[in-house]
Amino acid sequence: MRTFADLHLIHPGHAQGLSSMAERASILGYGLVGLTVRGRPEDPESLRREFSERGIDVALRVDLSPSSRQELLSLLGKYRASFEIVSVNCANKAICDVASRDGRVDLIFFGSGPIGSRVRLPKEASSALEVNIRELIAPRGGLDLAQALRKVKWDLEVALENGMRVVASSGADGPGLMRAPREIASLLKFLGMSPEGALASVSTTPASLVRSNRMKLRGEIVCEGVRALAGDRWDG
Amino acid sequence: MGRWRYLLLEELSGELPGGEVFNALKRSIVDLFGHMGLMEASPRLLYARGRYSVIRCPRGEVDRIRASLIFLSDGLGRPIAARIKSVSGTLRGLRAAIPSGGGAGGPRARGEAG
Repeated sequence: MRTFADLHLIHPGHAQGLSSMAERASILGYGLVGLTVRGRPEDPESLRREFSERGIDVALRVDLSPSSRQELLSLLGKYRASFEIVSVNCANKAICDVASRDGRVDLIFFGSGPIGSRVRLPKEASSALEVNIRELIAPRGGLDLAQALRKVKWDLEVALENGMRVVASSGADGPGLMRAPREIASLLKFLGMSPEGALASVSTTPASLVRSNRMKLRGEIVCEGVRALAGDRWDG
Repeated sequence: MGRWRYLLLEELSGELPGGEVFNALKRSIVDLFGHMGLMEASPRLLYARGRYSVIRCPRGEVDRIRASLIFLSDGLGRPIAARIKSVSGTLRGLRAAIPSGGGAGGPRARGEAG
């Protein structure tokens, strides 16, 4: 059975709100969520417990919003080892270029920046593009729905042209903005993704990203394509 | 395979009854796909009780309904959360998915005794 994932839930800042989000994630059928916490979480286990009690796996995530390349590199050095998912809000092309190529960045997304500046992603991008449904439900930056949809469609076209992986998330900071995975996948189909690709963006793509990151954090992946096996066992 | 799909909708915010959710869904389809989209999706409300409603649409239009559910809002434009709890090719098949209270009084399939 397919496990659905929403890698972008934002901690609302209070326990009651987090509990409601966990409950909603369970109702919507998610098996894995990424939870953004501001700064380093004081008690990550209690955060995980809120979801794991409902059978949902939690990956802790940090959203970086650097204003320059130097700041991005500094933040990556600071946070990479503490979080299972590192995402970067690409405010301009310089940050996008670095973030999409840096192996320490898992996800890049375009916040509510000005429309019209179509950022060209490099072909050898290693990170995945994240589409946040929240930017469509409640567009920010003065965009209307049509403009917000066009922006997401542009982003998807660029990602698909360059063979980038796509992850679709809610970006919600409360249960009211969370949406079911199949509904999100249906919308992505209308925005140009294949049916299989759309479903993968809310299931296998985010799940494999978290799985490989956990292996890296445990030291099981030495470098890209090389995995350390425990003991003298040989599975090959 | 039948021509129709029957969808069990569940409103999750507890703010709108099932019938109102259907109206919100039609508004959302128009917002997203226009009146031509609404014509093609041609959703029809068959049953509404509490936060559940059953709607029917052509087999190839389920994705359009699903995508429109993302943008549900109440009359004031506030986002409303709803999901498709179950999809079936027959109304009879969908009845099993309706929680208690919606069973005996739920939608009747053609040929069932009243």
